[in-house]
Amino acid sequence: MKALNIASTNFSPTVECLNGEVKITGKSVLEDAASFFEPLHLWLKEYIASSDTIKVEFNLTYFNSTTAKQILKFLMAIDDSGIEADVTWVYPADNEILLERGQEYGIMLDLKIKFKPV
Amino acid sequence: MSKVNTILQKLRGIFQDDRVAMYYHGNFDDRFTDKLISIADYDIAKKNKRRMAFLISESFQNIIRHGESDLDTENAGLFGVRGIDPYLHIFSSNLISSSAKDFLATNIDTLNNLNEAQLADHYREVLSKGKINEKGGAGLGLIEMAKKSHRPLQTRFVEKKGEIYTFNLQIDLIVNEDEKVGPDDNPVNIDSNNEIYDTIIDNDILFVYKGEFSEELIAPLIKLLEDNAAGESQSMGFKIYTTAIEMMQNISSHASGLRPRKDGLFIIQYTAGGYYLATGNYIDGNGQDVLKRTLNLNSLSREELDRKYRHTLKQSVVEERKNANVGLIDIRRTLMNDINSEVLTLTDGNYLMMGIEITAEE
Repeated sequence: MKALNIASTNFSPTVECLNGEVKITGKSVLEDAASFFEPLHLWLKEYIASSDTIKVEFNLTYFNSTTAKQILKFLMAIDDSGIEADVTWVYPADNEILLERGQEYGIMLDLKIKFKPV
Repeated sequence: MSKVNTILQKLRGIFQDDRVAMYYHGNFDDRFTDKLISIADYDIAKKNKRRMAFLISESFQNIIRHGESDLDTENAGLFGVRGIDPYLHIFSSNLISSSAKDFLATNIDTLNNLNEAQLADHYREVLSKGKINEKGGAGLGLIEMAKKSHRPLQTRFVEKKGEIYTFNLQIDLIVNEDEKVGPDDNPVNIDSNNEIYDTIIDNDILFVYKGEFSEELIAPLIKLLEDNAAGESQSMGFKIYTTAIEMMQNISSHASGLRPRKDGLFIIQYTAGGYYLATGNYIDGNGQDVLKRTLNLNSLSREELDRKYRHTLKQSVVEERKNANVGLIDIRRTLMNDINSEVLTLTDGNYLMMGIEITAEE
């Protein structure tokens, strides 16, 4: 499976997909988040077809509502696939809002999400 | 009509013919210069970009150099840029002492009476004499401003109290030389800027932006707010940043598509409890759907808002909708203050105004 690497900008996060591990790090204030995350969705579709496990780490210091939708789309695809998933939500220890945003995905999906303050 | 909407309506009228307008009233440091330049230089002929960047930067430095921030901490400097074709007006205002007033008034009066060749001679003369004033400036910045703008510098000194003056300076620059400048195309008079100055100071406004809300213009605005929010507490800074982004992107997605540009107005105002963020933009339709939606959101509890957010977000993925449509829900539930919305029916279209206060947690 080919690796996927997208470098961060002032307005978009770093996306790293390698050997069954996905890391999304930084902040995402993109107005057109759908176009940015499209390669990640395609990568996941292909990965799920040939793998049984996936490890995901979100480490976002901010994301806007258009990004929230793309995160849900990504996690829903994992959830629906039935693949064994290890999902960690890293958040700044003093930012309760970001913790709540992560907990919401746990409510919306069957996925178990681990929370890690930093 | 709420007080903020009255301000929005007033600014909408003032900036009606402006391609872009931006004012910042607060503490000044160099971090802002680059972002202000990137917002202002949009749509400007390439060859003039350097000249404009220089003048903005010099004008900004002028506030830092001559400003007497220790005189009155409540009245920090004001900086503004207005693009009204064919001009770009660069406006600065700050408190100065009477000795700085004498220095500036004499210098600017001299400069405004020199032609280009005389300005060049004067520049060389001051440079060689190296006459440095008490604030570390030799007046070279002012000469450069006069040389590069090719127009007289407009100034107003307003006595505030005792020996303290407000120094208002306006530089007028023709940025698109391809446009013919007729004999009646005079630059905006500095008195117009004084009206804006009064509106901003009287209403404790921190930031005003009028212009296009395309992604490439929102980007430096976001960066500017991010730097400004860095001085706030983690929670307040995060809320300002979050709300500003959602509101600005809301204009970008929903501003009238019938107009050539997605124009809008965005302001941040200080309030007793924190900040008030407000937007104004022309919309297609009568806006009743937005008014109904915000009224509904205002009536919901935090738990109900959370449920609505999750339901709407999930539906947007399941039904593959283009927009997430959760921006307003997110603003309302994060701040738990009412979203104020109002539609003005104007002769040239319907104008939607929205605002919300960001208050510090108890």
